[in-house]
Order: sequence, then structure tokens, then C-alpha cells
Amino acid sequence: MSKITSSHVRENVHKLLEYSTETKKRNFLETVELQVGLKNYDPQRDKRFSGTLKLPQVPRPNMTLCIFGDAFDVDRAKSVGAEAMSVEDLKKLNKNKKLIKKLAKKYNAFIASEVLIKQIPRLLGPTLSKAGKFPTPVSHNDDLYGKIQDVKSTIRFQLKKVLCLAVAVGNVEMDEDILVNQIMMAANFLVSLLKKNWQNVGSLVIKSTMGPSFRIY
Amino acid sequence: MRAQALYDWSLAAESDNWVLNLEYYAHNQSFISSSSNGSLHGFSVASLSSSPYFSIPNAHESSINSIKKIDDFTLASCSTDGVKIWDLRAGSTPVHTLTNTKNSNFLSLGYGHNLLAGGTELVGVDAELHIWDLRNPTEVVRSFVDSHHDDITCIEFHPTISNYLMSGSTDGYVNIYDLNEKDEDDALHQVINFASVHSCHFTGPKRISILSHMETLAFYELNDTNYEVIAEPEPNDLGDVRSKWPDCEYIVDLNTQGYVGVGANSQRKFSLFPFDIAHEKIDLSRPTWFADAHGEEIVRDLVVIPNTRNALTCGEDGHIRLWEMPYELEIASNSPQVAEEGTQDIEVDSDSDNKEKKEKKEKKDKKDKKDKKKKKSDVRFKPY
Repeated sequence: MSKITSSHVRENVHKLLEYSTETKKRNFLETVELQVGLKNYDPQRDKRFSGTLKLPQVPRPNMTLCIFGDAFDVDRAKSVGAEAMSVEDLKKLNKNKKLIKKLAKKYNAFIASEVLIKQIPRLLGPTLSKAGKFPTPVSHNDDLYGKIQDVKSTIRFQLKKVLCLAVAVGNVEMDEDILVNQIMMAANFLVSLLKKNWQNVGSLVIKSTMGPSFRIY
Repeated sequence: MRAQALYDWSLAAESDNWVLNLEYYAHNQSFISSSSNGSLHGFSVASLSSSPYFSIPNAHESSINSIKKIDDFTLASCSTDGVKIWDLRAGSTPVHTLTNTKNSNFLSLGYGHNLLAGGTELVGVDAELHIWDLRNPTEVVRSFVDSHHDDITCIEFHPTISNYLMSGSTDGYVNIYDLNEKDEDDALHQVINFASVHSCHFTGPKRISILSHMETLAFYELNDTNYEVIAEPEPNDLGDVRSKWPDCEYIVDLNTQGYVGVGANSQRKFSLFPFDIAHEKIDLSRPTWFADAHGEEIVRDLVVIPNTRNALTCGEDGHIRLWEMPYELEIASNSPQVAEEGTQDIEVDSDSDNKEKKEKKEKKDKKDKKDKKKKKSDVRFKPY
């Protein structure tokens, strides 16, 4: 049973959006974050974990992405306006750590043709893994644009040694309804992974990058 | 069908102590348990006595993250103060203490082919994996420090191909390394980008099971070394099993001997299902229910004692319980454990082969040492 209602969340989302789009509009696209305070959780002994969840909408549309493609996927990438690199491009990096690091820094995420995944560790070594950006596979049967949206709309939360965690769930240009839905989905999924569910949740707060925070639980 | 509770060992007297892992020793029908207060205890299943035959109250300074049986008399354990090797006959001083230069918190252990591997939590930007040869544990054999970017939660050696090692992490990757390659850049054989890894196992010579912290389960193929050609089948992704299996809020682990432990602590439920490792399918028709197993607390480990109807469970309530199940589980014939025992026998038979291998290994080790001398700045490991 969820302990938050969409009407209550909506009230707070409304206030948050009012502040960020009217009271004090910023010169960049503010991200909306869900912050969770945990209780009755012992990070020394309890399992630490991270989780990923695909939301219906892309929280951060400015995310950059690059596709490592075979000939077919490089063409497809061009047709959907995505940046792409071929195997030859990757080979040119010559396993040079500096160059690979630079590449890893340049983009937020990578997608690779399924047929290339096997070669990626050979071509690029552990550097991409180290950056947390090992590519997601895409097959020729998958819709490439859809896959890009999937990767962009997947959020990741990490439960570390501290009793709080935060995750980007949307931005201030989203419709109220969509934002409410994203927040509800993220909160309920996260809580389902906690061992005592709502008993482990101390607080839930939403906040835009520069705005004040609003407590929803 | 219900399992019957036979015996209950309580370590809960020491306030709020959790029992985290169990290792069973068949030769004397006993098991070792590890606790969150840093203690190790050994109890006999044969005599069912409440007093331990083996006990080290302060084996580690804090919660023991993992334990691993090495042989009939040896156990490895790890925590914030490193990896310790214990001789179960010798008592409360570890035979060896292994650590890295950063004194990281070790979270996971793997053992196979005389090699012990330990994985650390993320410190700064490094989550490190170190491998020691237990015949000469003062030198680290391999170190992989760049292949993960978050806590390393699970390590397993390939049961038969001795140069393959697998590690899983909360960064969502399962990495497979080829230990014949000295340089980490070349050693990384395969990366599986799945989800925050709770456990990963070799379920067959070429199959890998991955259980995630989001309670999703998938089976992947171990890639061959022909990197240009894709010959591997698509992964078998079972998805979020909480919605598919009854009374499932969390999974303890998938055991490669062919069973899976499933809990629903909000309903005080715990059950075991046979799992067909060969066909990668759960058998929902034959559940065993462990009534009120560990109450509202999480069950942390489940061990079915081979060739008996008995099972052991331990949990966050500080108890260890022995159960009699309604039927004896058939051990999967292709289970790697069985295979491993087989190969060990073979190795004993063919001594000459063994020597050759050892010689080769020694040569390799020598080369390693030379390398290390050459680039001292690269040496990240300093044994005690």
C-alpha cells in the first residue's frame, strides 16, 4: 500500500512548479529531484544496492548520448539525429586511456550494436566500466530511437553509506500530471525495494535544482 | 508442503546481532556462521548442541560481509579490516590477514583453483578486486582496480576453466576476466550490463545467472574468445520475479545445486522452490514452506545439506534454524559444484599434469614479480 496519494503530491508539485516557472525562473532547465530519507536502516549490515527504473518521460532531455554502431546502426543513428561511432573509429583510439577517458566524459551514456558488445572490452578496456558508462546493447530489430529514449529515461538511485538518497525524476518544464506520475512511480518502486517498505522511509522530499524543497511524506 | 523445524541456535543474546552467512562442512556435519557483530561460530548438526564447538567472538572488528569455505579445515572471511584466513582447528588467530593499501572494506570473496579473490567497496573512485594464491598469500597474483565503479558484491571462479573469474557489482555490471592476461586492460573478457548485482553464479560451463537487487533474474551466455563473431544466444531474462513467484518480496539466492530461497518478511513467510538449472526454470509445483522462518526479519542464507532432507536457514533475527524438508532435493546433475568435485578428482589422478601446470604458474609468477619491480609506482598492494 502506497502511503502517498497523487492529490497530495500534486499539491506540492504545483507549488514547486509555480516557484520555478513564475516566482523565480532560472536561465537553465531546472531538474526536479526526489530525495528520500531512510530510517531503521543500517548501511553497515543492510544490503547496499543501487537500482534503475525506466520512467515514462525523459527527466533530463539535455543528456548526451553516442552510439557505437555497425554500418547498419551508424546509418540509423544518423537518420534519428544521434551521434555515432563505427568500429573503425573505436579502433583508432588504439586503447589509449586518455582518449577513451575523454570519450567517456563527452557523453552521458552509450549504446552499442548488439554485435559489437562482445568487442567493446577488447577495444576500450575497462575505462568505460570505470566511468559507469558501459554501453547498453541494441539489436537490429529494436527501434533505435525508442532505445535512445529508454536509456535517457532510465533513472538510477544508489543506497550508499548514508541514510539518504536522491534521484532526478523530471524537470520544471514538464506538465504537472506527468511530473506527479514520475514522482509516484519512482517513490513507490524505491519503497518496494526496501526491506520493510514504508517503515524504512523517514521522509520524501521533492526539490527543483535551485528552488525550495517540498515534503511529500 | 511444510518443513519441520528441528533445532534453533540463537546468537541473538548479544544485542541486535544478525546471522548473515552459513558454510556447511560435510566431513564432520557442521557449519560455520558469520555474524554482524564480527563473530564466527561453528555448530555441529550431528550432535545438535546449543554450545558451539568453534567460536571466535572478535574475528573481525565489524559486520562480516562474506565467508567462504576453502577446504575441510579452512575458512576465509572478510570485513572492514580485510580478509582473514582461519584454520578451524587452530583457534582464534587467523593464519593470514590480507588487505590492500587503502585498508578498504572487503565485501565479497571467491575461491577456486587455490586462488582467493576479494572485492572491496567503492573508496574514492576505486572498487578493487585482488587475487591471492593461497599457497603463497603474501604476494597478490592479480589486481583489478579499474573495472568496476561501485561496491563489488559477488565473486566467483569458473568451476572448470581456471583462468576465468567473474565479479558482480552494484554498478550493474558483471565482469569476466581472463586471469592469463596480466594487464587489467587485456584481462577484461566480457562485461554484462544488467542491473545492480546481488549475486552471480556459473550455472553451467557456459551459463551465468545474475540476480539483481531489484529482484530481477537473468541468464547470460559466457562469451567465447572469437570477439568478432557473435555466436552466443540472447540472454534469458526472467524479469522481476516478485510478480511471478508466490509470496516473493525478496530472493535469498539462487543456488546452483538447484534451489531458490524466497521470502516475504511482511507476511512472515519463507519458502524454497526447486530450480531446474539446466532449463533455467523454477518448479512452482513443489514449494517447501518454512513456517514463520525468521519472523518479520530477512532470511540471509539458506543451505540445503546435500544428500539429506535437512536445510539450514539464518537471518536478521540472530537465529540459525535446522529444518527437515518433506522430500530430498535432487541435486542438479550439471551443477558446477558436482563438476568441480569431478575435476578435482581428475587432477589428483594425473599428477604429472598438475606439476606441469604448477611449473607454468611459477614461471608466470616470476614474470609477474619482474614486472612489478619494473614499475613500482603501479604496485597498489602491500601485504602485511
